[in-house]
Amino acid sequence: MLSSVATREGRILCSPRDPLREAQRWIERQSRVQSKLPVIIVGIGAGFHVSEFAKQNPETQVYAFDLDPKMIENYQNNFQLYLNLRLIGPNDLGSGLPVFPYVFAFRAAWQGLESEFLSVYCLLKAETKESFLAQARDLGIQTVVNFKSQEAITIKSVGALLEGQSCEQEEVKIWKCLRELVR
Amino acid sequence: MKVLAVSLLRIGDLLMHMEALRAYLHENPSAEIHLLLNDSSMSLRSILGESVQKVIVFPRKELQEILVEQNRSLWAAFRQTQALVTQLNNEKYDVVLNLTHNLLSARLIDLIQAPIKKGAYFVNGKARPADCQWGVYFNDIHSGAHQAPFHYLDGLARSLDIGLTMNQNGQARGSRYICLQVLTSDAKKNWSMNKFSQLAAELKEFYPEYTFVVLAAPFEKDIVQSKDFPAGVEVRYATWVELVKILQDTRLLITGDTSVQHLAAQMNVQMLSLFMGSANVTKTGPRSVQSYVVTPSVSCYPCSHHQSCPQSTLKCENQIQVHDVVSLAKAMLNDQAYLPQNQNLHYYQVQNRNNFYFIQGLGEEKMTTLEREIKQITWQFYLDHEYENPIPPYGTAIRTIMQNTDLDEISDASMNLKIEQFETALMWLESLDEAAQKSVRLCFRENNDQISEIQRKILETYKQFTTANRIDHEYIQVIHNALTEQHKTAFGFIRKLKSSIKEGMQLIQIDLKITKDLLNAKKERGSYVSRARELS
Repeated sequence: MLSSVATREGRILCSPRDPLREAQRWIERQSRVQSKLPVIIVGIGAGFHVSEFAKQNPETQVYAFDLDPKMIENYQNNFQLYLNLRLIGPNDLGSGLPVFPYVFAFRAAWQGLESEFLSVYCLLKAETKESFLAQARDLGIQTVVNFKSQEAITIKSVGALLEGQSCEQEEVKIWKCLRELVR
Repeated sequence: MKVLAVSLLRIGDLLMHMEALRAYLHENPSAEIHLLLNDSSMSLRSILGESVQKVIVFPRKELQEILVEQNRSLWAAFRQTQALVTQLNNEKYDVVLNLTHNLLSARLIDLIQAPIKKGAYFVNGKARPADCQWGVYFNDIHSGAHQAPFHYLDGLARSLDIGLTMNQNGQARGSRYICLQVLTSDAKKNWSMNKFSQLAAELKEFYPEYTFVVLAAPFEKDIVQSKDFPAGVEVRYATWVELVKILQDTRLLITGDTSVQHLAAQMNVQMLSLFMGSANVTKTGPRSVQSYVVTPSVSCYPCSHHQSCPQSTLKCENQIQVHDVVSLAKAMLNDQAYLPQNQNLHYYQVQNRNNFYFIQGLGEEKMTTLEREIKQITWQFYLDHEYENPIPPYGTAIRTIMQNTDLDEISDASMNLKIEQFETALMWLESLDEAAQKSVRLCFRENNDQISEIQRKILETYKQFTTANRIDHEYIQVIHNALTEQHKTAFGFIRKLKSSIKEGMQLIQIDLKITKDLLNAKKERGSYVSRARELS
């Protein structure tokens, strides 16, 4: 099953011994997915985890992303293309993709391109100031949340930033409401 | 009229909210009620009945997961909430009723457009003051860990201006089952399952004509399955619909402070509730007349809802023994009056007093029961502004009390002692008011940093006084709030302190007036009786 393209710079992008078991254990570690909410997997690599995940969650729209077009091609050649699965590359980012409630990282597939994958992962999770603002733009929101530094973006930090801020805008009201859920 | 009822607490609370909603619907028959409830409460949907025409889910669990899990974007939670708000606003509600009374619901209602909003809510991020005195009471006293004179549902309904009544019809008497609800939502409120098992075995001997049923939810199966119950005792992992069917034919339900208790109360099932841990008999007891509640007498009971028990064993649970419950259950099943046998426990019977839930202590000092009754009436007078009437209806209150209480069993001395204590308290409150007045001047001169020092000093005086005199804390606990809360400005602190002193004084004056009138009525009646005896 392992083809030659499942490596990058000589590094194998999945478990050389039992990639299927690795994929299953990875799936178990992820949060339980609620059906009908889209999921994106960052890192296709050898593809076992993507195939297993799509198979096990037939009602979930699964997006699988890889920076390397060869990995997408490899997947298309070696695995079943489930109806609920869409493979995407760098050119697809920022072109009408949904805001993903679930962003899963398969780090074994990142080898050799760790920092590039990390940037995409942070962008999808809206974890940095830039990516947070980028997602707001995608949603058509002129957000009032304006982080001054590169602090970690959590609901607490958003809440702290809005503390004392005038609360006439719907966006501020929603963030403050959400803040109450994790007190 | 389209009404959105917001009920975002737990299942037991939602069941009580349903009773308030039915009362609301009775007063507003044209209302079309939509209910916003947590995803975790959806299992109740099957028994909500016709009062609710539409159920809307608040995806609390899903949102919490998005907000705290590593692989989720905050915008996903944002977008989901925004979609919910849009959905709610598209309904164009005329009225929003906040049954939840917490910050989450108050902020959520800030996002909903409706001409009338009732209960706690924010307006553009700022808490809106309560519409009525009951709302202030519910926020200041009932929501905290304080002792409260009213049942949670009585306080909530009146804060929303809903005329809730208590069922007058007496007990529904099913003839088939004696049910044991063996688990609660919190381990410290549980009576042990071994004791429940023993209880079932002993009662079964006396009442073989009943089917004994251990009730548990399907998700509690693993816990309940591991325990042995006597032969012939059925264990039912019932859904809500099945539970309703069982309760319809139940003669007696023995339970802790559970959602099943609240459901059974609405069906008027007779109950014997075992309250321990944080289960508070005044706030969440069974609102079903002639039900009984047993509570321990350990000093730590009732404890805080939010803390786990620091004791190595649950002292309160240990205090309630099987034979105590057996003897009370037998009296209830035989329709006999019960004389408490264990002096370490408190026994209460649930009664309807002026459409309020009232607990009548069994075997307790008559003066204690009288004080509890006067306290409830005092609060009603205060919260309904009755005391401001040109002719306050004290006479009616006195007559009601005299109907329920035999004043001859209460000594003049104990009533006089209470009057003395309250007069002392009034004098102290006047001096505290003067001290607060002086602090106003100080606060204007000094900066706001002085507040905590002033708070500390007054709190010390407060503690000294309340320890030295047996003064009723419920009347003055708002003063304690003012002295312990953080205040943004000196002016805010003084305003809160002075208004709470005023409230304490008014409450004590009302109580004092009722107590004095009762004493006079008692004396007058005494003289009539002795004159009648002389004449005869």
